Amino acid sequence: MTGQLAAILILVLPALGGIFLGGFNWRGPRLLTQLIGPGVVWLAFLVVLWLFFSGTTGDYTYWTWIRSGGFSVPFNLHVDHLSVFMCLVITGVGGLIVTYAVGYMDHETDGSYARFFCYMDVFVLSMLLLVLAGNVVFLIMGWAGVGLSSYLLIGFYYWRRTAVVAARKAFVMNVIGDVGMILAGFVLFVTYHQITYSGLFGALGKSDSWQLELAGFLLLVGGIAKSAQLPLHTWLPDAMEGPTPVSALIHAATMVTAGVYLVARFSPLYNVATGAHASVAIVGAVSALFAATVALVQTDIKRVLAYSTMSQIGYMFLAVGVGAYSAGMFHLLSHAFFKALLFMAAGNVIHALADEQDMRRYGGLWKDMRTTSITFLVGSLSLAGIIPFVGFFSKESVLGEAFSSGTALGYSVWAIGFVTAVLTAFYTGRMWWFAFVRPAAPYRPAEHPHEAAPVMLVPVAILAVLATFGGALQTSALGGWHLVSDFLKPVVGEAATQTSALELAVTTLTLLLAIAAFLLARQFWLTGAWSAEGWRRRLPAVTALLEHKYYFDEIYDAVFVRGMDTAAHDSERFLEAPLIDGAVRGVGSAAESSASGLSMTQSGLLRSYLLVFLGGAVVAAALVLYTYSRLVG
Amino acid sequence: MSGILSLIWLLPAAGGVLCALLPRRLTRVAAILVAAGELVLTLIVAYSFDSSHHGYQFVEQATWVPQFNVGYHLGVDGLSVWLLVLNALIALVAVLATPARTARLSSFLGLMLLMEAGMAGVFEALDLVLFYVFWEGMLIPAYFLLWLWGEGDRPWYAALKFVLYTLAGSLLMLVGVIGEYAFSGAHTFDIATLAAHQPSPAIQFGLFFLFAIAFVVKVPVFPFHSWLPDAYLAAPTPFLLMFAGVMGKTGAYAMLRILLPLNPQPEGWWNWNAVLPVLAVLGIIWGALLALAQRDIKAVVAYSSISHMGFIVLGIFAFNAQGQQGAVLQMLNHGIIIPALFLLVAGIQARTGTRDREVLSDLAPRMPVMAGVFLIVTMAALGLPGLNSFVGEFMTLLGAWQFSPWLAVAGAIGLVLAPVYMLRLFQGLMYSRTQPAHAPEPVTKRTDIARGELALLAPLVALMFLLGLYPYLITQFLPALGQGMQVLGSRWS
Repeated sequence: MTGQLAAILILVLPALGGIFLGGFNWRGPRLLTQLIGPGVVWLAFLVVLWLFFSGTTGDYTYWTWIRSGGFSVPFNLHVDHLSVFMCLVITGVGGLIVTYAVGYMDHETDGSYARFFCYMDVFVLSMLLLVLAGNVVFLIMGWAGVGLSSYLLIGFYYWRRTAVVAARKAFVMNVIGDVGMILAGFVLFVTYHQITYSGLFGALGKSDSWQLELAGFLLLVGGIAKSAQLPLHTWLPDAMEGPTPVSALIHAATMVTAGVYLVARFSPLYNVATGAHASVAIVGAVSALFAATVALVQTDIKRVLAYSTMSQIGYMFLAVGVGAYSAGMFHLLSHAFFKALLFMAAGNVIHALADEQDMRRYGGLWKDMRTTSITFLVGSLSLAGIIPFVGFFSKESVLGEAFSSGTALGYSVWAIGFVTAVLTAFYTGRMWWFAFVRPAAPYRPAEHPHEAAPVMLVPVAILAVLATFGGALQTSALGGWHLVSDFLKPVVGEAATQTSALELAVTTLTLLLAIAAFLLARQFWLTGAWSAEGWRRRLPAVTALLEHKYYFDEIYDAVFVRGMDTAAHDSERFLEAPLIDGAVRGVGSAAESSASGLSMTQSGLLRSYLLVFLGGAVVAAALVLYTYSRLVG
Repeated sequence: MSGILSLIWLLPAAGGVLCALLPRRLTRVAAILVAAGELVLTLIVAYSFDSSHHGYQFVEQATWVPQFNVGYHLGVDGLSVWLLVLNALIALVAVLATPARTARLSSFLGLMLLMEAGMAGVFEALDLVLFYVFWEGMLIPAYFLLWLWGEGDRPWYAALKFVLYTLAGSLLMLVGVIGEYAFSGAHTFDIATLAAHQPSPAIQFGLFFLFAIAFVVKVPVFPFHSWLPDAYLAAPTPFLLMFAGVMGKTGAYAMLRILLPLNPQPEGWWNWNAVLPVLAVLGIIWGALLALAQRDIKAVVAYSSISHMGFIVLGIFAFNAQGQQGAVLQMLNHGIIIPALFLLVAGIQARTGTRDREVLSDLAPRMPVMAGVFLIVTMAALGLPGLNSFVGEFMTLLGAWQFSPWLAVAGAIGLVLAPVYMLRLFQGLMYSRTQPAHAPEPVTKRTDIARGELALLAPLVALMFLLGLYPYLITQFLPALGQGMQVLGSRWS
């Protein structure tokens, strides 16, 4: 097998799966759906493994997409360590999640079942195109393709109005990001006359310019929209309307981290465009803190996880924003493990409790669903950044790199990340103690919830193992291995990995505070030693601000959604109807009244106009010719 | 293969006359055969077109009115060859979509074929007088189709408005044609010769205005669009496919073929070349905004069409290869997407008896296949990357960016508004507006899309994918331009 064949095969497999499942008009037999849906993802995973182990890299061109003047875009795939790394996450974690969905979507009718796996395969296809694309245009295609699949899967339960509206919201906000990417492509092409990565990065040069900064900012707009960072984040919590495997795969493990991939992919650009690069770190740090505070008060378990996703992606932005690309990518990998794990464990609970997502109606799960609870605990400790779980190592390498970068920016984003880490441990603890350990709520939907089926438990268990031992890949937070950095070094360059004593001390402090916060949550939410209600009463303004998620939705709704509607209707009422159309109508009715004065019938009217205008045309032509002949003669 | 271009306009013209005379039961078969034959002819031209050759191909030239040097001069180049194919394809779809119960079927199909002949001639003519004759030849059948077969309570009003607008445009164009003859000093109506003999910028300024009025009305460009919603709402579906799918493109085509090569420097009190792109961008935003305000689903599609045509004009007036090739792509893309949308709208209206967005909802469970096709077409229409419309919009905006970044940014607002109105339309029609606690029971009584309708939509949907993934199929022909054509990549590459 050649690299050329392998790269396209990775895309063709999920494409075939999607076409097959969709082409049967959702009427294929269920068993076939169960085999093909996850099967094609696993086959793609095997091909990616081959790429990984054979060490194949290259840039493969398949056909000319367009050539217009100096603008020439091939369809080319760019296989390097960064894209192989992403493909491993997408097909590996993706394969686990799609397999999990075989059990989770079991209640659906055959038609819905096939529809679900068709959309999932389309998503995997688009996401793989996104990371494998070798030029900006096909990057945008993959970018939009994941937006489409996200739209389809958020709105999967199309009979629910909220799901339909959430899907549209996600799509439109992502199109804003797409436009940012498109404009970034324009800037890059017009400045460098290159559109493929290899050509573009070769032409960038080493000196900053306003074009580079502009391109960096516009790319960041795309990254912000896709990765649900401030201020284009409001679609992500609503996206939890989708089935839980979708939340795990698209809205936690892969698609929402595309912005991080984007910055890492364009590292040659961001390394030069320092202003745009710094803004990546700032956006990430602020989003991380923002989302962590909102997660403190949410009661819907999936919404807590959604805000936590936004917060963790903030960490990744922070990392790639200070130039610690491999730390950011490691956190991406680690987050894919533990957040997919958390979503799927939560999915087991939701499945067992008649689709209930409100944690206030949970409790007693540690007793009734032991295996799921253990896996959720593993995920929680990982998210909270507690040793030896993978989240500890990845978060510490992010914060450590920021801290040891030695710049004012590095220290500021580190400080924000540090506070966020403590908050994270607290809200994670809240989920754990409140939803799982607390005695069963009196109005819990199921008296004896059943543990999930093996097809759902096994993928969760595999992820739990990965989340427990995955940290061994890169223990550089404590000094030690750095396999992820080594692997990505050829693409993103080497980040400073010298661990200082001060950094170790800070790491220890973070760890201790995180453990304290996790245990502190127990006092609030389990033993009731301290009352959350008390804080709520004492700080009503803060509580309201957090519960309304800083009023972003309300403001956007008032300004953009209703503003646009008003603009549309007012344009019709005050401009289009009276002015643009009115002018023509005025001429028409004047002619009509004169025509009725000549007592013409309605059907005769048209004919008379034809005659008048054709006659007029002939007369005008004759006049011009006459004038002309007089002038010449 | 000389004579094939004459055959391309003569076949539907003669076929149209024949159909009008044939009895009702034969006329449909005859029309289908004529339209299919036309498609084959245009495909032969496209297949044997030599994309490495510069200059017009398949040229036919004869003297027509020797006193005024009027010639019968036909030819195709990279710009027109695919538009001919589009014309034939959409005409075939339209003829197939004509229901057998249509009133006065023979005349209807006859006029449709005559219109096809007129449009084919417009895309082939290389002489201004000949062009004008074909231009009127396509408009007059359109008036009658709109007037006599129009739907709604007052089709005559829509037809009247259309007549007022387009005849005013034609009249001014006729003056412009004569003006070109007089002021260029070439004493000919031959387009390529005229392009080599340009009058002074002040004269060009006037001539540009005379031609432009005719073309911007036809496209239409903001603010000359108010005939379009009325006409589209009144137009019977088969006619509308050709009317919206192909006829609007004749205006944009004429801008590239006549307006710019003959009047490249229209500078007097101001420069027209700087005015048109601004109007185009206003149209992109205006059409999108008004699409949001419509209740009638056909009106949503009609206004979206104004927005999409704005991209074409913006690309044309970017004066570079990307913009103008993008414009040509967008003509074809829009010519594929809009007929598909109107077919779907007609299918929904036929099944539910209404086009009111406030009344329609929850159609997807009853017509799942229709919903799936509608979704793909919706995605194509809102410019999803990977489908065809994205290519045109991307290229026209890239062209515009090089001309003026602010215009491109303003045009990109249209890209953001498109998913708002298209998805609101799609979701409003297809999905429920309530919030039940549990999934509803599966619908047993389905009124899904018929096989015949699907067969009409299938080639259009296939083209949306093909042109989205391999637009080079089209653009590789575009640098092969006729004499005097200075744009589309030859001079500006």
